[in-house]
Amino acid sequence: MTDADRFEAFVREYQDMVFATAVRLLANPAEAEDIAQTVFLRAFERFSTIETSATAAGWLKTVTTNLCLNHLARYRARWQFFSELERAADDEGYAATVAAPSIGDALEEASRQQRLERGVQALPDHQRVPLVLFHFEDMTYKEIAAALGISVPKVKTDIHRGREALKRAMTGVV
Amino acid sequence: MNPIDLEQLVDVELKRLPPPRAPRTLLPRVLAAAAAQEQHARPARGWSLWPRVWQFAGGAAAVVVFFGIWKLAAFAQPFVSGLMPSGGFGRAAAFAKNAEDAATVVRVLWDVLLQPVATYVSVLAISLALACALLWTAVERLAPGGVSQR
Repeated sequence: MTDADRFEAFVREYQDMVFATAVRLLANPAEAEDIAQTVFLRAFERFSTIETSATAAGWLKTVTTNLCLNHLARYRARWQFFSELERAADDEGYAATVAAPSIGDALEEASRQQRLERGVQALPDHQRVPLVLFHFEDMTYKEIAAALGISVPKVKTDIHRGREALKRAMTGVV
Repeated sequence: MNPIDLEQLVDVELKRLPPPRAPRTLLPRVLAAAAAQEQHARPARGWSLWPRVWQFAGGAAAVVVFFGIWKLAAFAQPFVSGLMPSGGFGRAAAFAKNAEDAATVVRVLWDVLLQPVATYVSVLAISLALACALLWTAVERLAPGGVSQR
């Protein structure tokens, strides 16, 4: 097996994880794909050490999270207006990337999940990012506050407001 | 609903969501970018970075090629001049002779006219510069109130 083959297998193994982390933080599939590509190129640069490392998944998640936060801080404010304009089109793409439920799943469950997924996407950055870091990346309030450069009470408030918005989205209450 | 219950409810619901799948375009994109990066990352290695044996071999090859071209040119010159039309070589030879004559004239002029006086001219220029400097210093010291600043 050549280096190229091993790297391809590595990308195949972790691409869903990296993309899922990025797309949940950014709520934008195109930007998430760019970030995922950058993450794997960083992995490629040190592939000889990462390939055999037991912490490869953790390393990938950390790099993905950091790149997403940098991306949000650097570019999102500048392109916010245009992003919002293109939001509807992106939503379609994001929905297509979500794994389809198995045949046995109830329609109601699928609908509920879809509403929840859309609810996560619809959250503003300052609520979605800490919420995703807390629930999907299992970071503590303190770690999130440090990563985002804000206070712990602010993190708690934003996450709580995000949860309330998600509850409303799940129950269909606007 | 109190915040703790809300946290648990949302956590359970979010963890049940199917994970987003990477788009099919991601893998080819990453592999192409990695291949391009690898291509860029491989710098051209100069002669000084070659292995020692390769350096000697390269140097020897360069010397052999240089002498080969030199010998070949000397060996082929009679044949080539025989094959070439005489006009071309004749003009070239005349141009070379004129250039040589011009160089000789310039050398003779330098040897006869300029070189004997060049030393004296240099000495004179340096002396005049020193005299001016001394005079300026003297004027600055002796003139009451120093040199006029206007």
